[in-house]
Parts: sequence; structure tokens; C-alpha cells
Amino acid sequence: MIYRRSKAREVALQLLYRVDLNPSLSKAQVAEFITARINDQISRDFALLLYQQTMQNLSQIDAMLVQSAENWRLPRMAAVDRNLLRLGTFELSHQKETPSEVVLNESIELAKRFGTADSPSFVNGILDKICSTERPKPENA
Amino acid sequence: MPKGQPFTSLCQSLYKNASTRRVDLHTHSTFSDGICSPDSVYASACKLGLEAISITDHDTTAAHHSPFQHGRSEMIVGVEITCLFNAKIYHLLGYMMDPSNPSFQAGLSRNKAIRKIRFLKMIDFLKGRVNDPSSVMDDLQVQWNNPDYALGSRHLAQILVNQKKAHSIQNAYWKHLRFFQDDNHAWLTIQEACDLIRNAGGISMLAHPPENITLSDLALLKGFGLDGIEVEYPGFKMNRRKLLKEWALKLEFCIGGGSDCHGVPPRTIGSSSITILELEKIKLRSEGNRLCSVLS
Repeated sequence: MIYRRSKAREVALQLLYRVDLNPSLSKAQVAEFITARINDQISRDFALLLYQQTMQNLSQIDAMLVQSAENWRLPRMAAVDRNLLRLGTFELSHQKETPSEVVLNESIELAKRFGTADSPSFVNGILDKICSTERPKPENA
Repeated sequence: MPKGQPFTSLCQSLYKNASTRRVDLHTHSTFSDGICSPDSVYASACKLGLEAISITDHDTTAAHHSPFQHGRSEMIVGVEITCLFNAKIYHLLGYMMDPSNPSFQAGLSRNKAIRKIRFLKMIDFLKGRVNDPSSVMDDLQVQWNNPDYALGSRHLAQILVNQKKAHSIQNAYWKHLRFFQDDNHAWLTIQEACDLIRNAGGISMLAHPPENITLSDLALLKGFGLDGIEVEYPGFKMNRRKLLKEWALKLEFCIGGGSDCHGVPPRTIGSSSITILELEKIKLRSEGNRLCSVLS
């Protein structure tokens, strides 16, 4: 079963992928894409927030990814992995109320569904690294 | 096939199940120039089995200020705004907006004030045609004093009928009111009206597009933020509807329609309507507009 927020993440990923390959995507096309795929207003708003905020902080997110992905330049990554990492990095760095386990698990599930056979471990490795810098665990834990 | 045969009843039941669910998005109540109260309009819609209905009074949303008794039909908030485009008067339908939006209500108040001025001019114009023009105001005291009501020429037409100066509302227009020239250019412009509706979270639709409107006019209106055009309308012939549908498809407009029922036959509630699928598209457009406003 796909939960509502999972569906919103999936649509946000599809939008990020789409705008990555076609940067001239209009606002109306984005809105139409979301309304056609999600039925409830809360999830629509969440998908829009993920997409919009990721796009707004794209340069910062990409810089974090470049720093964490050793031996990998962003343009060399598969488009799905690249955008999935952007989405996950955004949630880890800006959506502090979402537990990091949830972000990692959701990203891996999306990687299984949309990426290649190597995508889940690749996404897991990089997001785990970002998680350790963005959400360091307390010393006494 | 004789009546009541098993095959006939089978066909009838199949037809009944196959008949599409209908929606009437253009009706009027006593808050403007209709003769039925909002509740009785809604009750009729429920009785007829319409999936949804919208009361679209002229320049007022007063019919939607109080909730409707629960029924099977969905009530959609609506309004019909009088506005100017190319120095001519057009009617713009608005749906699903927030009726409590202050700037939206301010725009409607502006039009209602113009309606009052026009009404006085019409009474002046009717001097010599009506027995006692001053008595007109006595008959319409409630509508004049309450800011929720929007006065129109139809009110005067009804008084002409009551005073036996005309035998029907149509006849009153034909004999008297069609000679009245409205020279007021202070109505909202169509662009202002589109903006008001959109900013209040609604979608706008051009009501009964006139014969002389062109595709380029509609393209221009799309630039102003128009979301759709009324295609299903009692006065429209099949070829007109076909053309408007083609244009709507070309310009990615929603398709609207309704009976424009004022309570007088032959324009009864549901006599002209669109399918529930068209309404779903309108709702999706409305949601899309909302998301677009969040994006900007």
C-alpha cells in the first residue's frame, strides 16, 4: 500500500525528473501534473512543497551532494538517482520534523521502483553520509 | 414493441443506468432577477436528480451566505458578474470562489452600486410608459434597501407586466426596455472581474458567448485569466455549440453550461446542462489554479 505522503514524494520525484530534462516546465503544467496524480489536497500541497522548496534550494542541495558523493559528479549520475538524492537531501536538511529513517526508507523504496538495480544501495550510501552531517546523533546516544 | 414488454423494460432500465449524470451551472434566485428562492432552486435540483447545481446571481453571492439544507445535489458557489470588454457588456460566471473574500465583495459592491444608478435611469426612461414610476420604488423597497440584492431590468419588466403594460416579461423587453441605452462605463472590466474571481480562489467562465465573439477575442480573454466558456445554453443551436466546443478545445478552456433559469418556463432548472465529467474538469482546473498561486 502506498501511503499519501509516499505518493506525494513519488510525484515530487517525477516532477524533479521532468524539470531536470525539460527546464521550461510552466507553472500550469506543474499544477496539472500534481492534480492529475493526487486526489487529496493535503498530499497535493505536500508534493508541491517538496518540489518547490527543492527547486528553490537546488544550488545548496547540489553542493551538499557533490561534497558527499566521492568520485561522482552530478551530471554523471543517472537522472532518477540524481533527483532522488536531491529530494532526500532536501528533506534531511530542511524538513527536520521528518525522521531521518523515514527519509532514507522512502528514498530507497523509490529507488527500487524507479531506479536501476544499483540505485537503492547508491542512494542509501550517499543519503546516509548526508544524514550524519545534517542530523548528527548525540554523543551519549 | 408494445409498452410494458420485458424487452422494452429491459431497454428502459439499461437506458436509465446509462444516462449521464447532469449538472446545471447557471441559475438565478430572488437575490437577483430570479423568481425562486435559493432554497427552492436547490430543492428543485435535488428533486430532478441533478448531481450539482450553482446559483449564479447577478453581482451577488448572497444566496450562498447561508448553508443549504442537506440534499443529494452538490451546491457550487457561483456568481454572474457584469463586466466590460471592448466597450460592450459581457457576463462572466465565477465558480468555487470564497464568497467572504473582502476584495471580491468590494468588486461586487461596485457593480451593485452601478446597478442602482442604472435602475434609476431606467425608471426615468419609463416615465410616460408606466402608470406611476414612483410606485415602482415602493414595490422594490426591500431589494433597494438591502445591499445583498442586485437590481436588474427584469424587476422593471415584471412591474410592467403587473401594470398590464406588457403581457409577458419578453413582451416588456420588446415593447419598452430594449430602447433603453445603458451608457454606463463604470462596470468592472473583464480583466478586473477575472482577477477578482481568481484571487478569491475561483474559476471564471464567459457566460453565453455572443454571436460576434471571435477566436482571437477568446485568446485575448485567456490571457486575462479566463478559464472556460459556456457552451451548453438554451438559446444555442447545435452548430453554435459545436463551434464553441472546438474553440474551447483549441484554447484549453473548460466547458460550462446551464439553463440560465430565472424561474419562468421554458428555461427551467436542468433544461440545459453539462455532464459530471465536465464539472470534474472544472474542479481540477480550480485546484490547478490554487496550486499555481502557491507556486508564484
